[in-house]
Amino acid sequence: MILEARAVSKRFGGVSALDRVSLGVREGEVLGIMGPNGSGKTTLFNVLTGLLRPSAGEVLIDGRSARGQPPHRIARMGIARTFQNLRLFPGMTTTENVLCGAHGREDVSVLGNLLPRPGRAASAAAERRRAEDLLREVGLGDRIDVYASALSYGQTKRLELARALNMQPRVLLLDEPTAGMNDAQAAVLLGLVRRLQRARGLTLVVIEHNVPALIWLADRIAVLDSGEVLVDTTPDAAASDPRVIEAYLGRDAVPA
Amino acid sequence: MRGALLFLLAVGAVAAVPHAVSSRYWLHVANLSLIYVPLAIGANVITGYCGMVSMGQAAFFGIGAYTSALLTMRLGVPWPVAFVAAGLMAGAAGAVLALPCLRVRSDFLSLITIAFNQLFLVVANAWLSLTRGPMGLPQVPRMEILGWTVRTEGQIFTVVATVAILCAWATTRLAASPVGRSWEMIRDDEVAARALGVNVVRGKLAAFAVGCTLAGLAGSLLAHSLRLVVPDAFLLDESLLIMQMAILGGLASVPGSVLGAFLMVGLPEALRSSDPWLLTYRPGIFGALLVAAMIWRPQGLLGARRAAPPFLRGASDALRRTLRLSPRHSTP
Amino acid sequence: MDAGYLLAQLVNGLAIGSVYALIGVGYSMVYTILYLINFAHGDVIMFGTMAALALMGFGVPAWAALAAGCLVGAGLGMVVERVAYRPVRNAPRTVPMISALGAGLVVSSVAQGIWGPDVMSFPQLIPRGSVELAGVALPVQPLAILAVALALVAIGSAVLELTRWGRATRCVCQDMMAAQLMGIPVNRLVPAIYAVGGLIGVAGCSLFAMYFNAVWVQMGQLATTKAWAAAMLGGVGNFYGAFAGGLLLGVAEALAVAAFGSLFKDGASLAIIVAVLLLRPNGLFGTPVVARS
Repeated sequence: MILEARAVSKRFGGVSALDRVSLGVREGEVLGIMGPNGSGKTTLFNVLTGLLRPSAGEVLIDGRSARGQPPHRIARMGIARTFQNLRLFPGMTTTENVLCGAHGREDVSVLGNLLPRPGRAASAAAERRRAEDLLREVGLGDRIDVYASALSYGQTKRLELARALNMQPRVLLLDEPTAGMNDAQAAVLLGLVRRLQRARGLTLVVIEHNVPALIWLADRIAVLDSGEVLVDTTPDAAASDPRVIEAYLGRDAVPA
Repeated sequence: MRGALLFLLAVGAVAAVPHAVSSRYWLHVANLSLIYVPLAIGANVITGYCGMVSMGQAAFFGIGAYTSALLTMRLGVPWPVAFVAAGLMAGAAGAVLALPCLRVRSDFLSLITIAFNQLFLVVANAWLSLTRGPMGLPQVPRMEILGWTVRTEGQIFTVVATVAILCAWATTRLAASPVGRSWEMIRDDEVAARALGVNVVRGKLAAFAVGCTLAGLAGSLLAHSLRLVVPDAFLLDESLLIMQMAILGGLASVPGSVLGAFLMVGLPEALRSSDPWLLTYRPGIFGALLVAAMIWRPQGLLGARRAAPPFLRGASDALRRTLRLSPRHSTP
Repeated sequence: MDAGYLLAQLVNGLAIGSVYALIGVGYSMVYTILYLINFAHGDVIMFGTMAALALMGFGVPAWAALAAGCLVGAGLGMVVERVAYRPVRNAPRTVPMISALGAGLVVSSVAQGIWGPDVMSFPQLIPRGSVELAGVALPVQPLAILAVALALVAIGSAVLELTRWGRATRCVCQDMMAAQLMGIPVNRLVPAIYAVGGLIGVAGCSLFAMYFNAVWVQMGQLATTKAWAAAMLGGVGNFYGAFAGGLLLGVAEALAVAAFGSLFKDGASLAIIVAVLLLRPNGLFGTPVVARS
């Protein structure tokens, strides 16, 4: 397992958001996570990336405990993520946004950047080229050096994907990559995700509401309900599991 | 190429102005404004680039001034060494002060810096054996660089303008580097910055220390060009003025800070004799400008060359959304 | 140092601490609800106190002048909310903080235009001097100030505990999200909170002015640090905590002065701010605030 939650619980006050969740993802695998709203999916991501500390249990990266590690260190260990409600930097250009993903491998000391150093210009140019290549790879080749605030919604999703890829992550967590998209847009984006996964051998954990899409994309599916892992199995088995159907019907019965 | 051209232009101006301007008074006004350039740029690094607020920059200005004056007077240290030491001392003081706050509640930094400014004044006024208290340190030696003694206002202009240009150049360079980018990430979205591997505490600490270092360097310039260091030059009002230069001149814009320093030091200085009314109400006028700027033009005078950063644009958007209730708690 | 002197210092400390607490309530409530350090508060309450003094100068009875001053503080607090907070309330927290600071500068500048920069004396509505109690001389004025402050806190807590408005406010202080979900009109409470902070603050500031027999335009700045040290010590957002924090700060200052001389009075508040930040960022009595992200 590259990334694993072991018996992770998270409580907010009296509310239990995660209850002894154990889940892991192997190298090169695509783990799909589904579950009704409020079932703890995003909380799980926040715990896995260190933004929240688990109330009990622990997160392991390469089998080693990440207990007490701050988010930035977990990110540098190769755990990248996107956000459900997008967290781009709208005041920066697309290219600059992607360059933000390179932070972990750049020299960020004040003196180091003030003093002359041979090769700095060359490595900055290389980073820039890499960022532009990534933009082309996600289909934003015609939006290089445009302000991020000028992008369409679908394009911002791609930009966030490119930024996360620029971290050269060992595991990439995607939190509802198709949220707010219509079916056609969603299909195109998930197609891109799958193409990138195949081409780069990415390890993915994907939260997704669209059940058929997830079954198509994932190697394994875990279903969360009320903070517990209901099912952790193959996509086909998950699709026919009566508990899954019930959990989803339960959600559909309540008007959003 | 453009950089080299600008550099040549600047050098030309520094060399030419003392010869072209014959009025000692105008040179003095220009010098005073130029001393505030590193201060305004430093405040801009803290507020404009990194999104923090320091209301105690005058204390770091003062630490630089006292450090430089005392080193040259008591220990006979050459001015260039004392100048660097003034910057380092102020930067170190800033880092030590800010670290505990940044680790726990960085939104209290503004308070901590106010408290620090007041404490600095208490110490400067009371530690008679070191600072001579309210009487201050008179007869601070002139600046001297490799045997060249800086005497006239024109010569002072050459030195302070050179320092101001170097500070502007260094900050521009930093802002364009990965450090500057990490500051903007922290300013615009701390959660995203963390998820991208940015050590937020370290980044904020670096920005704060750089801002305080620049203030310390300005302190050394002040001490050796006025040749007098008194506690009253570093009041809390001075801190607020420095902050306003950065904000009204243009956040995240080095040219904006230069403009801010000239407008807010030079202009009132120039008008001092003609209009005392303006001087009485100066804080109020600038205060009203601050409120107006936050509502209508949070990027300041020159800060709009790129799309306004979201932490500023929020303000103008807010006008349109005034009547709608939106949650202030956002979850990551 | 004899016991009588120490006791007198203790009473002085409690009195001045209760004043810090009254001034701090306004900062503390606004911060708790809006995550905003309202830098205009100190200048608003200074203005109210100045207004009360001016009215007394025109021959208005002291009680009426003080009541009017409190109302001026409340009204000015609401004006600041309307002009400098509401238009930018959805912006990141740096923006309203700076606009509040700007509003404070306007208020103090206007005050300076009207009353000038000099320190003025404040009428001694409560006599100085001391009473003998069980063989110990106790200063009258600090005791009376403490009593007035305690009475105001009692009224304040009665309002918080018994009225609908008070319950809503306490609810919002504890958990704004939950309060919004429960249908409490948070945005209608905000101006009221500015007003109450101004009202109580002017009362505290007047007692402060009486105690030191001094009132001046720049006193708002001084109040900021002291009141915040008090609020942080007790835990920001906790009405009773802020009061306890104020008393502790006052006593700590008085003892620091007694032990090391007056230089260390202001040092005590800075030391307390830093120590609390390091050791107990939620104050001595505060409950942990969920970190905003």
